[in-house]
Amino acid sequence: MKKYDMKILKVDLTACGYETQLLDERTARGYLGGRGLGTKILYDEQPAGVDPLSPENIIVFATGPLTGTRTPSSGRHFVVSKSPATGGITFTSSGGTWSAELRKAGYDAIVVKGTAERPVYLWIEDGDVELRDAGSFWGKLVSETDEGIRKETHNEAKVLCIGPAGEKRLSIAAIMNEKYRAAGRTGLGAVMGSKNLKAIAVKGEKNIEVADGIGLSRAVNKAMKKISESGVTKEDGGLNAYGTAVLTNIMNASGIYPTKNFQTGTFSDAENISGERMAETILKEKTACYECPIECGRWVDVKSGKYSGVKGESLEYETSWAFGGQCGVNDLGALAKANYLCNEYGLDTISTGSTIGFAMELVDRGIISKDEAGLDLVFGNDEAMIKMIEMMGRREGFGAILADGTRAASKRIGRGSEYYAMQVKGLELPAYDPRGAFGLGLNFATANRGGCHVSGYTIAAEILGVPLKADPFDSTEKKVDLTILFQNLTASVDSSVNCLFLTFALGADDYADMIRYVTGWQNYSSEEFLATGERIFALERLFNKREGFGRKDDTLPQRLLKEPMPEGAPKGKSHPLEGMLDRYYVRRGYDTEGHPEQETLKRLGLA
Amino acid sequence: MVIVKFFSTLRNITEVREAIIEQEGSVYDILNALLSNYGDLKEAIFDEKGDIYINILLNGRNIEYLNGPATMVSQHDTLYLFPPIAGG
Repeated sequence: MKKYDMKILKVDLTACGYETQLLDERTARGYLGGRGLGTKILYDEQPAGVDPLSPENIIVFATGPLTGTRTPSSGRHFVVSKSPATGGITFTSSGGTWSAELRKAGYDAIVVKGTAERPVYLWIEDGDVELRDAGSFWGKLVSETDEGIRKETHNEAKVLCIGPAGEKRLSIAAIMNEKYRAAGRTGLGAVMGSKNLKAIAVKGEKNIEVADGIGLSRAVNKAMKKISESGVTKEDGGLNAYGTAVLTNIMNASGIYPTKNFQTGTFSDAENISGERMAETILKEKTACYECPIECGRWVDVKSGKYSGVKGESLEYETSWAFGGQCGVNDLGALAKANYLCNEYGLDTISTGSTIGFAMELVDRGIISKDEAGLDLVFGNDEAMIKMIEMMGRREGFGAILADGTRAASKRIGRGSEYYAMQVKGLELPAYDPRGAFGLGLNFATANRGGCHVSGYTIAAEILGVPLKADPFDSTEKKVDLTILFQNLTASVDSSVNCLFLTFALGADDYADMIRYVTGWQNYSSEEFLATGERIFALERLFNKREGFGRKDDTLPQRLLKEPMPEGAPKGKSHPLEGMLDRYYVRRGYDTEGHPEQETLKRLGLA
Repeated sequence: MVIVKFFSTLRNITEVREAIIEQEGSVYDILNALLSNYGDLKEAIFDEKGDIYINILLNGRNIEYLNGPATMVSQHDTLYLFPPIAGG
């Protein structure tokens, strides 16, 4: 049986050197990889109070035991660091094939610290590591960087890079890979930019070996059967047929499609920017990540209207909302153009669109003037929205005010604008109004990286009825427990590393089976798998506690707590956070400040 | 008049975005009226046991939290129908 090892490449950009390290089995089993491994490294190796954009901040690029194996949907990687947007620990992830290629090139994770004297990129080929000059790529857009680096290295290399937004250290800068894939949230593109690290290119031929190939085949066959039978993940199911934007009409019908900066939950033009409409108009073909049977990716090609000629990948639900409902724009072509620009500048689409929608509301309310904005920045003005993306990406004009997201922008603007900043812990909220999904609101408030839906996607149960149905307006202990379960399972899956979409078809048993056969760990069970997620979530809490986070940070924007939803099914509802939060801390074994109690730490092996 | 809207893959079956049902009654009654025009929906709506397999919202609220298929639907109400789906 092949022994499972995790090989970590540790790069010090200040010293211009590197070393390799094999991870001990106890840490590998306790934290898996991806989000868990990154969190463990940050917690152990980084003291409190480090400036996220200083050389001392560590940034970890991590795969997991399942990555690049023949387990389904195993083409994701995680990036973990201290976020310039939130000031706390964060993870962000992306799909594609970069992660599998990194493992084939001989490494399971890369840990980077320090700052290079000049712009560099890291080139890893079949175990060989080289830091190369990136001077000629500095200032270039993402596609130019990707193509240029592949020309300099290997045409089939997989390139992860930042665009101008990361170089200019925007707190909403993404880390892109393979041109169109984004580890978008929480501004880690800025951390790469602060280190003068433009890109990491990888190429390898190594076999990704597993401990028990026959056992893994059995587990994969079982998983594939479930995937092919699930209404969500099967071929020609909703995700395959319409991509993630299949959610647009459903969230709008449920009255939780945030519209014009969360002023309401119903957008009259939602149908025009839905996944169904996309399939009828601009969809060219479906795309997939490494070993993924779902194929939820979309390649779009705008063939008519003023955005004719725009093409590109990954016009997701969140992106189409951020520039659609959030900004009051109803033209799919404009959304495709906005997505294209964010990909090229290396910007998080959610935070970019959310911040522009925030500014539009400030103009609407007369808090800022159109002259101050430098554009006719009003809801529904697609051209002003498009122009503002470029201004933000370059930190130009009023774009410089908005470039670091809504929390920073509201501090710069003042005049009561912070009330309209729809963010938690400095991270802009995504495309669900929690006044109509109380579990998701609790998750938004408590997610360790800030206003994040994928930390605990209770929408699956509250709105979509998958894998069980939960009343969206229930705020009892039952809903609190459901939210905790989603958060723990997610942290486990994020560390395995696998795509969360498979959780719509697979359970903890399936993951535990696949991990056991890949690693050869005796008696690895679903209980151990779930406990890993709970441990990781608590360790993130400990990191944030060290940075001064507490109950005051586990909250929601005042609008969602005070203003009743004006229409739709959630009409009259605001979010009942306080009571839910009390119950949440008790059920988690945290104190009233939201910090894990000593007994909880002992139970999780953290004390 | 009740409006029934179809989302996701149900729309592939109906080939229209919505249908108008000129009667009132329970959700079950409306579904039966719907099936007289869109018979192919039957397999998508009901499982082998005859239970409703899809999500049905009445004016945005899942009928699961109202009165299930016995929930009464009034004039000018809107029903939204969609199969199991997720994303994010």
